[in-house]
Amino acid sequence: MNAAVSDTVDQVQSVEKYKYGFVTDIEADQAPKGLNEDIIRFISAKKEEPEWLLEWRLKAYAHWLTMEEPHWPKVTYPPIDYQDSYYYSAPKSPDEGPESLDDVDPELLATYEKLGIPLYEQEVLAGVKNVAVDAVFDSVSVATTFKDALAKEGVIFCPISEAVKEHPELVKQYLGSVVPYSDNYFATLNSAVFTDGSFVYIPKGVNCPMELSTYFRINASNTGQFERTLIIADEGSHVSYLEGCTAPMRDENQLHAAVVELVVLDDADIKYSTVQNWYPGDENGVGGIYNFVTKRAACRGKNSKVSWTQVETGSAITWKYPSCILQGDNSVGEFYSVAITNNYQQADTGTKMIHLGKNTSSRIIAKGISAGKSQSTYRGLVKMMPKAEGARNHTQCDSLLIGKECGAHTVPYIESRNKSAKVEHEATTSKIGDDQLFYCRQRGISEEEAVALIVNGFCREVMQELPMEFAVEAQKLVGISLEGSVG
Amino acid sequence: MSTLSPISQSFVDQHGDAEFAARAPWLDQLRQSGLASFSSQGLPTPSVEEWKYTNLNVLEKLSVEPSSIDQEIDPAELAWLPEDMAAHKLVFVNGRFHQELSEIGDLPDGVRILSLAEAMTSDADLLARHLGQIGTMEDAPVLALNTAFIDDGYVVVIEKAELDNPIEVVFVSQAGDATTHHPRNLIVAKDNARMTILERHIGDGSYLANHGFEVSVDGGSHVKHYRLLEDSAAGINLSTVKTRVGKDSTYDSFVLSMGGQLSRSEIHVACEAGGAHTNLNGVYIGRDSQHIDNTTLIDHLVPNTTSKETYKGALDGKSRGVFQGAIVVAEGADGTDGQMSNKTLLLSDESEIDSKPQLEIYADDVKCAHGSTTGELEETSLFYLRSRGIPEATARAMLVEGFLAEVVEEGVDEVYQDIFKAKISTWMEN
Amino acid sequence: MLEIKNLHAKVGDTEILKGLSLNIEAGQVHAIMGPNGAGKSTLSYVLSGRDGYEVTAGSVTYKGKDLLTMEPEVRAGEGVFLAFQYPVEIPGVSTMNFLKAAVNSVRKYRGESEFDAMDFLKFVREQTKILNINDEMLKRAVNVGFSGGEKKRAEVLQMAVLNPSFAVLDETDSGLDVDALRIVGEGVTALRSPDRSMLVITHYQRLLDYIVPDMVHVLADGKIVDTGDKNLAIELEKNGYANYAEAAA
Repeated sequence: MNAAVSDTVDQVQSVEKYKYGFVTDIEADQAPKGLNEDIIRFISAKKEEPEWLLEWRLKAYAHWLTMEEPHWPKVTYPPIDYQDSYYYSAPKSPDEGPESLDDVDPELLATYEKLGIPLYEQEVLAGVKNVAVDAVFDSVSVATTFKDALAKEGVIFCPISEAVKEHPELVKQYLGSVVPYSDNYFATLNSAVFTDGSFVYIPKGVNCPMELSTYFRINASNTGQFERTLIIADEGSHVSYLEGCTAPMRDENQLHAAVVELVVLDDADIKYSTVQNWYPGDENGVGGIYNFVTKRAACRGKNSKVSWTQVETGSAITWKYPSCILQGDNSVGEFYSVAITNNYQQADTGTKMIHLGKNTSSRIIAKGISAGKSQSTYRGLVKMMPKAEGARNHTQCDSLLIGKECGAHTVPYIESRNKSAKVEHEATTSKIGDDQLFYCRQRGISEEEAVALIVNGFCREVMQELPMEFAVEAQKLVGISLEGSVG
Repeated sequence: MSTLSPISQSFVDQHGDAEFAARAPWLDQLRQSGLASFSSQGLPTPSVEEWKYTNLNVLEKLSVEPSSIDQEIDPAELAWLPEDMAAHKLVFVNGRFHQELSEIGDLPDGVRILSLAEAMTSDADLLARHLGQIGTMEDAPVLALNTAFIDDGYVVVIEKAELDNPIEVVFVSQAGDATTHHPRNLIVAKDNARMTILERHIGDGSYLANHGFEVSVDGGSHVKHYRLLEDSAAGINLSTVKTRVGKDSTYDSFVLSMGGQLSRSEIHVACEAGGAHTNLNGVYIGRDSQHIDNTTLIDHLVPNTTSKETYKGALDGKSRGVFQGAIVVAEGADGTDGQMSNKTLLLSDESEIDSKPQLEIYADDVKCAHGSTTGELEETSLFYLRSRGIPEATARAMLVEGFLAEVVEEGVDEVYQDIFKAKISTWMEN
Repeated sequence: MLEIKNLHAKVGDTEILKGLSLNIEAGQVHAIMGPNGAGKSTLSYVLSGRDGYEVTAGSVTYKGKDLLTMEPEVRAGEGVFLAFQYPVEIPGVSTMNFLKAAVNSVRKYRGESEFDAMDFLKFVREQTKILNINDEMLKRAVNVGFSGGEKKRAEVLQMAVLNPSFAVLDETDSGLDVDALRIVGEGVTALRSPDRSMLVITHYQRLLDYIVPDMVHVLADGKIVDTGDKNLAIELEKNGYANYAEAAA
């Protein structure tokens, strides 16, 4: 095979590996490159925002200018030029936004179809729960399904830019109440320039009748995505929410700096699942998304509960710690995570469980799988404050290494100031056993399949926390992410 | 660091005025490199990850005048070992070797035990070969500070020999108003050597004792290094132990931290050749507003090295415990087995523990695990004892002692266990 | 010796014992049998005073005194002994020190002189000899690394040295093979005496081959639903608890 041919074969193969790597050719409405007050005013004007929100953005921006980019995560990357990026990019549409699904650009519908995300309201199949989708394409939400059906129950599910207009009192009350604009470098940047994201409000006592989901897609080149999600579960309500993410294959690094805020009141619960499959870069570490995300839940009410489940397979660099502030007595926080890194990917991810209230409890199960030349770090904080009488935490961190050039690290911080609080942390590191592989192969399973099988077994405790509708997809993703990691 | 804090600057200034007992060109050079390293770093602040939980601003209340020996010491106060064990005894007062109180005794061939000040003249070549050789002072400003002030300490060199009796070392800090000293100690064991060092740190008044240790264990040797930190209520004890473990050799460390307003025992062990093994064990017990920090780092640099580490603590009053343990496995260091455990009992409402057990793994064929628990006594254990007629207070004390005794049994030779267990029992009674 | 009247108890918000009454005379051995979840272990913890088991009604009178107001160690001093279903492991505390602390605490409570180390060693060795227990066990930490059989024998040893007047044996047969069962059963039988009563809680009849009871009670859904002699146990073994479960429901 000559070099040209093998190049082509490699190209084709790499396309196979990341099947979401295509680009949608669509005319975009973009703000000029760079970041300054005018850009922020531009975004705010595009969104027709009220004055208070623009001021909030500008306050965040002014604060951001005084901050330094954090370098404590165990990740390395060249300096980011914040002026060399677009902060607003939206597909051009005839009107301000689609009134109904019929108005959505067919090109976009086709894009989501190709991604496996149905942007039409399917007939309800017997026994299958429907999924309502908010589709965010670069800087704007392009469609939201099942809005009317949800509205009947009083559930608000819409782009956050729409919520600012339609439900300003809710947005004003809760935006920045969990992650303040000054929280950290990337959250502050997000506060200044966030463009879209989802807004969810579940009224008192309502059990949300369907899964809600947001699908994030970065399409334009040289564009950062800064979405902001806000979910409020009022007293006694329940909701399950899922987010998915993909981006085209490009040889540049694109920044995704999102903020997710969850507010949970008395006896309410939110189940938040993420399947993160941003473009990870190629096998030489070129390109890929920098995924620097702040996710935090405030369990404000008694008996409130938040469950974070994440399957992180994409991104060149992942830096995120979905956290729970367990303020209400008896509130519960859970974090179930699978982080898979391959080739030159780097992940520094984990959680923070801050126990403030009595008898609060938290559970952490983190599974890290490193292959290729990748580095994966679990970093987590469990903090028992003096008033957290009877609080409990159990943490299990397991790392699996595939190959000799990768790294797996565990950095837990355990801080306890209450004697009746009990914290237990366990961590192990292992590799896929040769005997396990041989056993599978002797039974006729190919090596790659065997790895996928064994890794899925290793992750089972986390995978089973995903909503049924997504568990199968996530399992397949495990196999795809690890392609080329053995042999 | 462009500008030093006042306290860091005062150390630098003091260095200029220091009159060292022993001088030699290579030694002055070493001190100067320590000073340069310290000057560029300054004392660590909590913004440095390794010092996140321990703040040295307590030093600001201390005048950093160098210490001198001016008080009488009652030898009876120093005694802590059963008489039949006292064979080789070294006493240091404010960091300086105290001839009258020491008794080095008869030594078999291949064993040298002496003070560093003496060794600077009698064994200069040996010192030049070993001193300042292990570990770097980069990211270790406290060791750099120690290096800047190298002047005395103990030197133990053992080669093709076994010491039946332990080497007993007592560090006494005696402060009038204030005192700082920086003992530097050196342990070299090679060619199937065997030895045990039992160290006791005590003091009076407020002071800073900043110890530096360099330990080299090689060629199938085994060094047991047990330390009892019983500093005075106002005393500050910092120690940095840098150890390198060679082929088929073992370094055992046990630290019982129970004294001082602030203590930090930092131990770095590098396993540098196949068959290297280290056991790091410790017990920390605190009350009032004591701050007790145990920080360890084990570097598995080559294939087939092993480590085992257990630290347990019980914290009462407003005391605060810190445990930071890291196991690092280098690329290619297959066959590493590293196990770490940290368990803490909080005995009071205002006590606090910060625990950071850390794994950093760059090789795949390894067995590494760590565990950490914090909380109070198990209700089931307490009930079991009470159901057997044991009053609650007694039952609690038994359980705490039992919890801590486990580490002593794991980490200390049987013949020395009672020395440490008795210290824990006495602490429990008060 | 022991009189339980209309005992109601709950764990958390769940009522487990729902009006249990039982009378045990001095020297008698009673067996309580019942299906899983009937409240057998709850009864043993209520009698020994464990936290978290709240008595909501009824009374327990032991040697004429109100047992329920006493702390666990006071009950032990008064002569109440519980052989645990799952003996608790106490790392770092040697069995010998533990036994000595327990025996001396109980002796002190009873107004008897405390043993010194030498006398205690002699005393324990007599008991281990009778019960055929290896003295090496005394050096090990309480129950740590003991096999199922060793744990139960250690419980019997504790019973012997604490000299109780009323012993509750909570599923002492669980986790034992036939040989271990025989040894433990014989050990307990050796401790029977006219001034010592026992309450043997078990799911299976087999333990009662070795510890022959004076009376057998069936506990279902928190109440005694049947009482008979040792033949009742044999009948239960044959027919199971199905009838009682229905009766209770």
